[in-house]
Amino acid sequence: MTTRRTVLKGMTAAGGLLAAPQLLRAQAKTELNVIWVGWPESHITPMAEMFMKNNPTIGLKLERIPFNELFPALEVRLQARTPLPDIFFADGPLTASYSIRKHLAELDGILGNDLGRYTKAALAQGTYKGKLMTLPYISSGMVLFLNRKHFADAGVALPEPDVAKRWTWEQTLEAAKKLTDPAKNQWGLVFEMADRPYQALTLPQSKGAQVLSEDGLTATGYVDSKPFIDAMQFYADLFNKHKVTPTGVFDTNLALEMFATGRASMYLATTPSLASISARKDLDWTVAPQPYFEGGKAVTPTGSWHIGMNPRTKQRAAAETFIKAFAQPEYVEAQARLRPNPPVLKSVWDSMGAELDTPGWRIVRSEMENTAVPRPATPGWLEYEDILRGAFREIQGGANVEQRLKKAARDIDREFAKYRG
Amino acid sequence: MSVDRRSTMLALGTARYVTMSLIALVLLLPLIWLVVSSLRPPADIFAHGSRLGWSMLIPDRLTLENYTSLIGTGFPRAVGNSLFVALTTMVVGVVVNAAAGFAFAVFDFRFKNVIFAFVLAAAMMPFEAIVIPLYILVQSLGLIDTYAALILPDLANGFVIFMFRQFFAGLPRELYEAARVDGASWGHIWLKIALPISWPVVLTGGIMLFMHQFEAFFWPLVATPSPEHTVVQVAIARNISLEGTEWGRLFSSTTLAGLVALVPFLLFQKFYIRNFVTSGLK
Amino acid sequence: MTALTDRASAPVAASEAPRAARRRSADPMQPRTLVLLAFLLPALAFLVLFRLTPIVIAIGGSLFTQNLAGETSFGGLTNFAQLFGDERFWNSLKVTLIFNIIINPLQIAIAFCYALLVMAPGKGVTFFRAAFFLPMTLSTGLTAVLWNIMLDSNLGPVNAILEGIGIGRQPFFLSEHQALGTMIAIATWKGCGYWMIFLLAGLYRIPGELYEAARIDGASRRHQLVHITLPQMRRPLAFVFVADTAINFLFFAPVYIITKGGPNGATDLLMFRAYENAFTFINWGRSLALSTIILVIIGVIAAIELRLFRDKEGAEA
Repeated sequence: MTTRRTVLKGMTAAGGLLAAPQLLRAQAKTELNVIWVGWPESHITPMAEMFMKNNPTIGLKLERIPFNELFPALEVRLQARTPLPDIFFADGPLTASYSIRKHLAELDGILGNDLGRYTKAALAQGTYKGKLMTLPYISSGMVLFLNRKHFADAGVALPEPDVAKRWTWEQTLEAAKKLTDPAKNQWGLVFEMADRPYQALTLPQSKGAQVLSEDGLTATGYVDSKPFIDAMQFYADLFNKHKVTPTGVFDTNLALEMFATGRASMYLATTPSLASISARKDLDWTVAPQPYFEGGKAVTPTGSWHIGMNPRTKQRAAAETFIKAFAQPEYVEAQARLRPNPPVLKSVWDSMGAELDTPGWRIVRSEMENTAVPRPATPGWLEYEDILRGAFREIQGGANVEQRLKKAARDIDREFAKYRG
Repeated sequence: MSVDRRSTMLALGTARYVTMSLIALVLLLPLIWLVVSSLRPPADIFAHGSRLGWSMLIPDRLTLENYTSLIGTGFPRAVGNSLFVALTTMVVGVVVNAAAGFAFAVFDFRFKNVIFAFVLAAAMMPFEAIVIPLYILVQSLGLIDTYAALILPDLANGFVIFMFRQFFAGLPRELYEAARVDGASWGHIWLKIALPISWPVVLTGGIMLFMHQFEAFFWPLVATPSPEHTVVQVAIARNISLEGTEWGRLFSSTTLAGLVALVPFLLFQKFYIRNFVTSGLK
Repeated sequence: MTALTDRASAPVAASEAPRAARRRSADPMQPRTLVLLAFLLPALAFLVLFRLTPIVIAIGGSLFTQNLAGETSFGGLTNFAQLFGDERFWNSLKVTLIFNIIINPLQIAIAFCYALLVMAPGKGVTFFRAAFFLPMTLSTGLTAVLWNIMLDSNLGPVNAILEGIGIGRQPFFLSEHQALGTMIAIATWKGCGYWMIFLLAGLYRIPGELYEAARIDGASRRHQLVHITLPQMRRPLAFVFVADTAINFLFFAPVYIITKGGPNGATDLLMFRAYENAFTFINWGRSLALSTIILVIIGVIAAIELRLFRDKEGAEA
C-alpha cells in the first residue's frame, strides 16, 4: 500500500517537474496561449519567431490542432468559458456563430479606422453586425486546372487563362464529355470538394440564386428557390446523366490525386492546389478561370482563416498587440510567402507582385476584385454547411434534386430556430 | 501413435497453417500497402492504385525522405510522450485496478453490486459527453498541459477492474481460505499469491491500458496540446488537412507508431509461450 | 456470489451494519474496513473524480437546454421528447442496433477462432500471432483513413483488384446497401486481434488434464470444444462480450471521417448523432440526451449479457 502511494506521489512530482519549465517561462514574461490550425511547423514557427522578436516581452504558447479536429477542440475550450485560449484561429464564416455566442472580443478599437487596408470580401467575412470581430488573415480563391496532354490527345481546345474569355459551364460540360474516357479510367472534370458548400454554392450563385435570407436565419425560399434547384440539377447531371464527374470523391486530397495522377482532365480547386500541383514535375498543366452559367454571372468562392480574440482573456494588452501585429502587411506577406494564399491586404498584392505574377495568380487577383463572393453570413453556418453537405452528397448519388433541397431547407430552418428566438 | 492418428494430425496441422496464412494475408495486405507507400515519394503513392498490377506493392522509386523528414519535427517527442504516458498508466494502472478487482471478487461489502455497476458504467459513456466537465475539472486542478492530465483520468479503468474481478472470482475460494488460516494478510495474499497466478490477466490488462493510452486522441488534443506534451496520435493527425494532406509523412509516422505499439504485444506473447503448457491442447 | 442486480438486499444489509461490522472482524474471510478501503479506494477515487462525476453532470445536462450565451435552463425531458419525435433518431437507433447485433457476435466468434488457431506452439506461429494483432496498432481514425483509400472507387487498390479479377468495382461506402456492412468489415479487420488476447489468456487457464481425460474417454474434438472449452471460457467470454458491446456502441471515428452518417443515413450511428449535435448543431442538451440513451442501452445489454453468462447454479459470470 505504501509502495503504491509513494509511486503515485512520485509520478505526480515527476509530472510537476516536467511542467516546471512552462511555469517558469510564464512568470518571466506575459505568455499568450494561441490556438493555431495544424499547418506544418515550417509554416508557423517563423511567424511566431517574428512576432516574439518584435515583441520580446510576450511569449507565444502555440497549440497546433489538426484541421479536422479544430472546430470540436475549439468548441470544448470555448464552451468551458475560461480565459484561455487568448487568441484562436477561426474559420471566416464562423465569425457570426462565435460572435453571437460571445466567444469573440470586438477588434474595431484595436485597428482604429484603417480597415480599408483589407479587401472587400475579407473584411465582410470578419464583420458581424457592423463590427470587426475576427481579423482576416488568410484568404482563398478558385481556378480551373487543366491537363494539357489530355486536351491535346482529345483534340479539344484549351480555355485561356484570361478572365475575359471565361468558359461557361455549358462549354465546360461539352469539353468534359470529350475528355472522359472510361477505358482509360479518365474523368473529364473533378471537383476539389464537390460536397462542400464552399465550392458547390458558387453554382446556384452563378445562376443568380440568393442562397440564404439577408439576416441569415431562413433557408426555405432560398435553398429551394428555382435558380438553386436548376443549378444543382446541372451539378447532379454531371455525375449521373453525363457521367463526366466521378461520384463519391469526398476527400479533397484524393481529388487532387485524381488530377495529379492523370485520372481527371479538369480540376476545379482552390489556391493551395497551385503549390501542390506545381510540385508534380511530370504533369503538364495550365489554368483557366472558374466557369459560370450562361446568362448568369461569374462567381468565385473566397475566405479562409481569421484570427479571433477571447473576450475572457486575462492578457488583454498582449492579445491586442498580437492582433495589431498580424494586421501588418509584413506579417501577412511573410505568411503568404510561407504558405501561398491570396493576400487579404491590398498592399501585399502589390508588394508580392513578382511572385503573384503567374497565370493562376493573375486570375485569382482579378477574381478577388470582381467575382469573389464570401459565404453567406449566418450564426448557423456550421448547421447550414453540414446539412447542405449531406444534401449535395445525396444529390450526387442520384437523389431527386428538388425534393432533397426542400428537405435540406426544412432541416436547416429547424436548426436555425434557436437563433431566431 | 498410429499411422492414422499421425496423418490426421498432419492434415490438421497443415489446415491450421493454411487458414492462418489466408487470414494473415487479408489482415496484412493493407498494412503492407501502407508501409510500401511510406517508402515512396508522395507523388507516386496514388499513381498505381487504379489498375491491378505489381506496381501496387512494388515501388519503382524508393525513398526514405518520408522518414528522415520526421526528424526535427515534433514527432519523435510525441512518440516519447505517448510511451511515457502509456507505460506509466500501464504500471500504476494494473496495480490500482487489480486491487479493486480483487476486492470485488473476494470481499463482501455493502452495496458491492451497485458500486460494481457504477464501475462498469464509467466505461460506457460516450467521451464527448463528458469532455467538457472533465476539461473544467482538470483545469481547476491546474493540470492542463501536464502529463498528469493524460495519466490520472485513465488510471482506473472499469473494464480492467472487471477483467481482474472475473479472474480472481474464478480462483477457488479454498486458496484464499487456506492462506488466511495460515495467518496471511490480504495484502500478502493479493500480492504474493493471487497476482502471480493471474499473470495472463496482468499482461492483458496492461496491454489494454497501454493501447488505450497510445491510441488516445481527442482528450490529449484538448488537454495537452502544447508541443512538449503532444501525443503520437495528434502528431500523426497533423499531417491530415483539408488544404493538403502529407501522405508520405502520414504513412511513415503511422508505421513507426504502429511498430512501437506492437512491442508490448510481442512481449506478452513471448512471456505467454514461455509459460504455456502444451499437454492435451493440439 | 450474489446477482449483479440484487438491490433488494441492500437496505436489509444497511440495517444489519453494526452486526456486520462486528462479524466482519471476526470472519477471517472478510477484511477489516481499512484493508477493504486500501484495495478499493484508489481505483474508486479516480473513477468518481474523473469519470462518474462528469457522467452525472452529463446526464444532468441532458435535462437542461442551453441558449446561445451558454446560459442553461431546466427543460426536463424536452430534449428526450424532441428526440423521440425525430425520425432521424429512430433511423439512427435502428442502424445502431443492426450494426451491433451483427458485429458483436461476429467479432468474438472470429477472435475465438484466432485464439484457437494461435494458442498452440508451432514453427513460426509467433509471426501469425503478431500478424493477427497488427491491425490493432493503427488507431481507429487511421484505420478509417487507410480503408477509405483502399476502398476508393477510383484510386483504391481493392477496386482495382476486384475489377482485375472480374468481380467489378464496388461502391462500398458510397452505397446505401454496402456502407454499413463495410463499416462492420473494417471494424472487424482491426479489432479481432485485440479480443483474441483476452480469449488467449482465458484459454491458457484451462487445465490440460480436462482435455486429456476427455481424449482418453474418446471424446471428439468438437465435443471437447463444446463441453470443455466453452464452459471453461464462460468468464473470459462474459468480459469480452460486455467490453466489445460497449466499444462497438461507442463506434464513431470511421463514420465521422468517411461517411458522415450517410449515404442516406445508412451509417448514422447514435454516437455520430450525439457528436454532431454537440459540435455542429451546438445543441448540447440534445447531444447529452443522446449520450444518456447510449449509456442506458449499453448498460441494459451488458446486464443481459452478464445474466446470460451465469452458470447453471446461478453463480454469475
